[in-house]
Amino acid sequence: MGIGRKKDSASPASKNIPEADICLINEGTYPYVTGGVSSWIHSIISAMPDITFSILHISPSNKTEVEFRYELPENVVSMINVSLHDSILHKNDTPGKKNKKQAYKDIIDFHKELDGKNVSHFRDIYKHFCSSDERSLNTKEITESRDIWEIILKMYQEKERMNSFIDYFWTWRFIHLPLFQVLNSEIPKAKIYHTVSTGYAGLVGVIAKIKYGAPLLLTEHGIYTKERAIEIRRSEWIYVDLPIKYRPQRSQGLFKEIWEKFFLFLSRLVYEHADEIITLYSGNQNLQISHGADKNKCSIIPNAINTKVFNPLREKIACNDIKKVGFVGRVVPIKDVKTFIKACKLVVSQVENVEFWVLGPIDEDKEYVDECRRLSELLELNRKLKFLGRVDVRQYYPKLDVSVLTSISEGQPLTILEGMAVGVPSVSTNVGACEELLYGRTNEDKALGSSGIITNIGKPNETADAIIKIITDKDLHDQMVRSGYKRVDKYYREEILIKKYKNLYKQYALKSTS
Amino acid sequence: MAGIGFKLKKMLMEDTYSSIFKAYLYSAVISSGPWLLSILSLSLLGILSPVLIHHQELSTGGWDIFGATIVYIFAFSLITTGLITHVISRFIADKIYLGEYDAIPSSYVSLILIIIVFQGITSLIFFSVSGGSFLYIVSSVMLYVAISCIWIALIFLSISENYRTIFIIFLLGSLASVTAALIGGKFLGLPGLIGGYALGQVFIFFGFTYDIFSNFGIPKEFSFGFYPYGKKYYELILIGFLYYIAIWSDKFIFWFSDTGNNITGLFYTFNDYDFPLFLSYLTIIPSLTIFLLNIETDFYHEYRGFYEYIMSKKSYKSIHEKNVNMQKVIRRSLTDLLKIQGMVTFLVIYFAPGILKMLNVTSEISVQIFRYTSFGAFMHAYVLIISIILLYFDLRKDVLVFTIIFAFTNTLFTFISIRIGPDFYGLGQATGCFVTFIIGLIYLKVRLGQIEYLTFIKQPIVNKLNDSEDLRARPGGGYGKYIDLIKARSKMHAK
Repeated sequence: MGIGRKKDSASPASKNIPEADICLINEGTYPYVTGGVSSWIHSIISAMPDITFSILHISPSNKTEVEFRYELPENVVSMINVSLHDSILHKNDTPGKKNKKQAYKDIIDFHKELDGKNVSHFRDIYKHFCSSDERSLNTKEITESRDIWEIILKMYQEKERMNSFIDYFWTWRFIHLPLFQVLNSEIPKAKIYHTVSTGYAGLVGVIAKIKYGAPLLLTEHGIYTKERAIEIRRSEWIYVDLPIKYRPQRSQGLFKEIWEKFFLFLSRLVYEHADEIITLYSGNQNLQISHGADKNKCSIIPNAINTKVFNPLREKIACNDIKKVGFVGRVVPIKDVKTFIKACKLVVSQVENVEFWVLGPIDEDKEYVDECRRLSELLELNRKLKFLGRVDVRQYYPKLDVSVLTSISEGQPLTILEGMAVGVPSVSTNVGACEELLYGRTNEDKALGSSGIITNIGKPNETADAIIKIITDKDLHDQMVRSGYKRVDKYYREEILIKKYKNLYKQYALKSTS
Repeated sequence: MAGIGFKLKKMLMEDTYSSIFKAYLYSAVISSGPWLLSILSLSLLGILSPVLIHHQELSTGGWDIFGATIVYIFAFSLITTGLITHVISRFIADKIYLGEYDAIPSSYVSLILIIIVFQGITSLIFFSVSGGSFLYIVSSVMLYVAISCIWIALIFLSISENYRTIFIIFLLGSLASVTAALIGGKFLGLPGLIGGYALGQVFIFFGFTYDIFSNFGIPKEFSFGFYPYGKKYYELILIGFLYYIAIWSDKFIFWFSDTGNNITGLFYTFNDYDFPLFLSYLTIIPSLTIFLLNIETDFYHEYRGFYEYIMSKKSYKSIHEKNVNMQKVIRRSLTDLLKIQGMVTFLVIYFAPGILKMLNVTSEISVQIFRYTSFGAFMHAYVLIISIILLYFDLRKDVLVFTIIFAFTNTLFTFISIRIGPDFYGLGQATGCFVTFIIGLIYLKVRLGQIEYLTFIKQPIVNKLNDSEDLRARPGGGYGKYIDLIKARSKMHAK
């Protein structure tokens, strides 16, 4: 389907888009994709009916219409979709075109400063490309002009490395074209801008802050730079210009480095401009600080669960003759389900009357699911290990004796919290916030006792030992259940999270109006 | 043209005298062979016929009609087929690149069919209006269609690399043309002369067709896949057409002004101009051949290297060095041409009276015209070469503008020269070509300086959208898609 849409159907009736209290900026999540970030946004909006929101969503393309996966609450007053990869060579007016020469000079200076981790020149860039009163160059010019060609050449030559020029050129284009889209995007007016990642969404927030002088809040669930870095390292489309013998070294070639640096720059830019830098747990906070975030602006607001949904399930726990070990999560490589399966084999060899349930979608990576099934057959677990697919976990938690997580990467997994709320101790690898969730973050928290056991990544024997410990030691199990109850009630209830954000919104709304 | 370059380079690599000579010869065959052989065979006919033919019709003006008919047929067949030559070249090159060889013979027969019908009908109308005997009309139409078909066949043959076969077919066909024309002329007069000449050309056409089929296979169906190319590369259509208009415009102006003589019907000539002009174009054939050889070998080698370096992920430094080399070759070729052809043209201009006297032309005005047009032809050679180089870089719009300038200046200055007076006859063409050459040189210099920039910056951007108000979130606002929440919500409810 093309972009061609009837003017009257999609454009706002008036010339102005309604102003909201909060503009939530997100990239590729709400309301189109379900997941942790989306449900977090949805619960915040739903829980604050007296505050109005506008959504700015950044998607790869506007060419195809994607269906909403969430029903937008009534307090969402407007929504705009900005596309990254529909390359429009904007022919915007350039009232400041007499400053063209200066603009090109500023581009060079801006890039020079980037190596020194200085992002203060971004205001020049804003002036030359974003500001409708002062814009000196439009996208067509910064994509196709002779001057920009000279700049690309100059920047390439300054690298002083004999690298593939065509890849340099395309890297330049691939990085800048989406940026130009964001720099020219419509940002609805709001009292406060709240971005749920750095990256392009964060950039929109920064532009909004400069443009409207409004406060900017940042909540990072996963650390954007780290997530992109993993993608970049895995990607095959970025040319690696190293001879094979250098492969085992740290360096991964100039072009992957450029991409990583670019995302680091975006994060640094957002950290610099944000008034609040929030994340879910201390591991992430340390990363933010190491990427340039000011410690004084950083705080932690963990993810929370709706205890009204989970607490009532505590009653239904049945005493099983057969112990039930659950794995709640998608069957995909990052969850390392194979380590779980191997651990199951080890458990079976020592404990009788035990069953294993894998509770989670098995349609995302069919190949990996097949591999897991084959491994399970090979280890003769087929009667005891069941792939139950996408299920309503609420019906299964009460039946579990222990819940297991073997992921190689996690943020702050809700499944551990849900287990704790229902009364299921967890065995989890030491990733993301898992240790904080099971052992406690602050001293006060730690005093509540452990609600599970932490193991190392990719160690089936450690995972198996932990499972056995919990299902065979009833006292330990019961202590963990009690600690879990207390911890969830004290730190991880949704009401706490909502209250914290509401306070932040109030505090900054007062600031921005005064 | 690409295919030829390779073979020639290979031949030059053998580095023996005979193979260099062979390379030169083949290059001559490709670039100007048909032209040269046609003129040679017509000259041969001109020399032999008065001796061998004593036909009433020919001695009473028939010979002039024959000459005018042949010139008209060449002019109009070149102009009309010029519309498609570049587009078809491009089409074939793409098909070969894609490995779709089957498309080549089937496109060829389809195209020939169109040419036969179109050229047959238009020329039938023309010759009927112009008048003449039934046999004269039929044989003229046959010759016009045959020569048009040869131009088309030559495009397809330029990629087959069977230069020896092409040359032999052309040689045999030309001999057949001359022989058949002499015999036909002896018994049937003017129609016999033209009809006989046409028979030889038909032989060439059949020979070429046979050669194409043996290279690319027998056509299995008709195919009109070249049709969309006309839309896509409309510049190429205009370039081909306007180039031949430019070449012939000065002659047309002389013919249809007061200077023109009406031979019969619609035929006009101006012998004092036509003959020196054709003669002057013969003087540039040797150097044009040498240059085309340079272009097809040295230049093409560097040119390919330049793009290969880019694609094989070389550093900018290496790419730039290749570019510098490539430009060096271009400059060297252009200066070589200046030296060689400059000398030739200087000698021709100096000895013009003597040369014309040898050819039994003594009129003062012909000498003057020959001097001017020899210089013009020299400049014209440069114009052609500059166009070829620009086309190599796919700068179609530039070449189109450049060709329009060529057609315009040649027409304008010829027109002015006629208005001023006989002393300036020929100066119009010379000035037109010279002005175009200067503009071309500037064009070339500017574009060559931009080659790296153009090569990279003009790389197509994927998912590119043309800017429009529809892409804005609100009238006059920033870019983005405004989502109608009422609609989106009711859609959710419906589910």
